[in-house]
Amino acid sequence: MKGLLLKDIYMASKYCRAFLFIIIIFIGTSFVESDNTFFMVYTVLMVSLIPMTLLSYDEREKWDKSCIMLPYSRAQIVSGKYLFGILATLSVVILDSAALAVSMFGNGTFAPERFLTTVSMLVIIGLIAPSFVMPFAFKFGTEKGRIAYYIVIIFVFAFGGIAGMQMSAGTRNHLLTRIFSNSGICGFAIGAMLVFGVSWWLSIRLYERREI
Amino acid sequence: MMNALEIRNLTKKYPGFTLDHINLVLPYGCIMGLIGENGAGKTTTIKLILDAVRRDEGTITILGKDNRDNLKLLKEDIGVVMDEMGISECLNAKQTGNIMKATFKNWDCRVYSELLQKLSVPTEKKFKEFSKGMKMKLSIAIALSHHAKLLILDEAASGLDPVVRDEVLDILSEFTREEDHAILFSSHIVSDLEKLCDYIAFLHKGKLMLCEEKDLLMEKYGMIHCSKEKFSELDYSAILGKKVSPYGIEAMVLRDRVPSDMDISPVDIEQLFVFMVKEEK
Repeated sequence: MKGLLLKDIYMASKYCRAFLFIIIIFIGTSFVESDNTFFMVYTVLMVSLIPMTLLSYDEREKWDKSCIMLPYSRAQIVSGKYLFGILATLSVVILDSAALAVSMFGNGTFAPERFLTTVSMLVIIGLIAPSFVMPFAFKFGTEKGRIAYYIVIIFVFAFGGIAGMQMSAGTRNHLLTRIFSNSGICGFAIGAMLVFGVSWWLSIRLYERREI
Repeated sequence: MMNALEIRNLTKKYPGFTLDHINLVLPYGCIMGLIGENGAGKTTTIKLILDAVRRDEGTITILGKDNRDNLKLLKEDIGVVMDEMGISECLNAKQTGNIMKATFKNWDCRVYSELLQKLSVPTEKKFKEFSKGMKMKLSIAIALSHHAKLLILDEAASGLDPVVRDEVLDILSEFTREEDHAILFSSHIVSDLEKLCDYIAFLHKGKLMLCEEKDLLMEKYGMIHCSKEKFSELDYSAILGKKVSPYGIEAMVLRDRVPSDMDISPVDIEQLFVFMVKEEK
């Protein structure tokens, strides 16, 4: 699988340069506005869906047809994309967390619960988004898989919008508090990892049956 | 000795097309040319060999092993060149070599560099800037750089200028000097197949019309030019195909079923193929 990961690194460094620029700007912004999680959420969401972007390029450049001729199993081809996604998402979550921690310490507002809740939320978004999108892409191709891509984007921002409105209205028991309470966040984080694992397994099964 | 490739009763059904019970055998040390018109099933056959599509019936044995038993390992010994080789446009030959080095256990950087130089493939130029011929040359260099035993080429020589095509054909000919090597070569350029191949397989509308040694084909078949009256006296089973013109009839025949006093001209692969596929009987 090393070859597959190396190829994706080469491609990401060429095709996803704009993402890197946006990530740096957004992390910088979230550093300044530590109360506003939008910028952190967006960077994680964007990076978690880079494997989908790379899959699109693979299809356009017919790499998916060539790759079948190489000594890789279909499971490895799928796993390469999931692993790349994990590595990229984890990197950005670590950067976002570091920026958040520095910002909170700088403002004197560091609270371990709030920090862990935000970081857990980023991990959850980073895992859930590709979990939903990737099986569609491996089964139907990226053109049709893009439908799932847009549903995820809309859902995340709708959810964020509702939670944000509740917080602004000063609702005590707003959505984020209920979901991201200590017990809630742990449950969701474990759930997100399980969903990611199931998505990985499902993508392999779907891709093994697909005719290239 | 085992065969490099054995295909038995291979069948694949699509709506409107069926690859119908294909049987062919490629011995070690040989080159087999696979000829067929567009849509005959050549690429489908190659995809079935590589398990890119699932077969409905039949067996495929590559280098003595069923192609479904650990195909991943088998592919280490197979070099493939397809007519549209999918390499990422942003990569150059050097980066592609790095990827292939991390892919194949037997990747040989020295051989790869030598082939790139021999075929005049630039190492730093992006793939998207390559001409069609240059893309093909890079694909051939990749296929030959991991000590493969079986080469599968699908229209590999198309798009190459005559000088480079000649070089590539020499490289392929050299490849089969090793006893445990073999090549399956699908092409429309019949002259290349004639020059290079030991065996010829004709595919037409999903059916294998014949699969024989090239030299035997030349001995077996011939071309006659005669009048309608003379033609009507011939054994029907001797005729593969005919072309009627105001000047007489041109027909492809089996030499041993035609009267010895008839003047039979030698036939080339292209004529044989065209007559078998196109002409009325």
